[in-house]
Amino acid sequence: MSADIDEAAARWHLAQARDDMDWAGFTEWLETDPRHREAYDAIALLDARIDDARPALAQLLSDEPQVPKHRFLPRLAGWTAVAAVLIAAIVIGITRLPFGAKDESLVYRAPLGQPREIRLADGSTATLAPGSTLRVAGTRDAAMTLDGNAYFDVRHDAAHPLTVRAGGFEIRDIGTRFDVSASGGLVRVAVAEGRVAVRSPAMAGEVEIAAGKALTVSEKGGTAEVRPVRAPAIGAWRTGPLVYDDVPLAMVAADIARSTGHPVTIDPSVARRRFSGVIAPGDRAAMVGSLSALTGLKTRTDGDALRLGDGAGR
Amino acid sequence: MSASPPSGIIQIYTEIRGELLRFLTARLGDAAAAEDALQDLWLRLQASDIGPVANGRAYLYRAAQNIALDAVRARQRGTARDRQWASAHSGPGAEPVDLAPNAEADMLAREEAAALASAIAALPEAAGRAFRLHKLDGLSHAEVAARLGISRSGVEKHIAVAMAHLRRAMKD
Repeated sequence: MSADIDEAAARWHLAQARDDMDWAGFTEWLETDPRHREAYDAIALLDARIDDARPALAQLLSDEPQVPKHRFLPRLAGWTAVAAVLIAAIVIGITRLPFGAKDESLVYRAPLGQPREIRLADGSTATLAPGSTLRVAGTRDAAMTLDGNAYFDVRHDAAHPLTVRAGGFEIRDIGTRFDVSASGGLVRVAVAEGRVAVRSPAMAGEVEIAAGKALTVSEKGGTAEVRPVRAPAIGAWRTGPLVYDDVPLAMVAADIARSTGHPVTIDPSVARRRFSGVIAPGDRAAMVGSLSALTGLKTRTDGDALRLGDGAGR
Repeated sequence: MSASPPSGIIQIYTEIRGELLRFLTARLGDAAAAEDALQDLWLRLQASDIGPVANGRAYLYRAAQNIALDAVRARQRGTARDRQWASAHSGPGAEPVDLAPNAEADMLAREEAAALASAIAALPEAAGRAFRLHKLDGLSHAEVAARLGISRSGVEKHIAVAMAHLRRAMKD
């Protein structure tokens, strides 16, 4: 029965989150029958599609009877200015921009659990970490806006710097490779090759970051730290695992939350502690478990979130 | 570029390389594709110079799984429906970004979400409940088990039943 095979495939897929997953057994099951592999492919891809659609699904399947028929609009009660702007953007998307519209930009989003590479018209590339979004405008001269984490490989053009906005900061580059992350209230820029200039409305001037260095600063401003970083660690997350070299735990926790789509928080007392290590991709429980094992921090539930702390109070 | 010293994960890789190749062959159904995927994994490990890893064997298998899923996705990318999605792929040969607003891709995404939502709403009760708690509300399997008063294995069974139903529903 094909339903049985689908179910077995799904069970293997679900078991992978466990530390005691029987990989040898899974291999044997795949080898037994080509239909097993086909079913597994379908289930794994379906799972990824469900993750991608999750925000829309949560809204469509909401149980509240008073949600109006046009489900892409939130209820009238509780609108904020931000929600109103988003609604305007969605409506524009459906009805098409009027001729000559100034804001012809496109928003790219990497799905949960899967990085996404974007090739820009000038040959530069941006790889988005899972759950991150990048707004790209029509020309290289217009700034891109990043929400989350991305690795940029920028084609050299001294006359036309490329600009990325993240967490209230602006990163300017004329041709290099660097990683930008705005996570957990912190902004980090790590340069693998070349040099970038970072500024913010709050800063008097620019800070230049050269290859092999990373700048970490709070979104609220304050002291910026520039520390050495091992170049191979920069952007190594593109291959799947989250690789950290001397990164504040607040960012690691926020990355896991963004990557899995479910909240992960951290006690303020340990949020600035630096972490080096690798977190293999998986569901939230697995990734938080790895982080906990590598840092010795304790995990507890806090409403919807998993919270990490040192158990010594807040 | 300096050579990186052998690290724990490279040692584990060397020990289980044969297993990983067998796994990838079973996963991709093609020995040549499996060799390519394994080579891809090896190159990425070399380039990473990564720090301490918890549970190295599981880490390598999961990395191999990701690479395999990318390969499967690339194989299936030839369909007309996939061409309508925004044109961002990984790897060489990707098309340049079309910077005009892509309302069609938005519409397809909305249709997909609507189809998934109907299929989820039509799931058998117990399976649907476990599925939603895990996939939509984000509870872990253990948390769902606690919430529903069943075993963790029971939760996995329910979710598997749900996924099998959804696969059939989404095939059309």
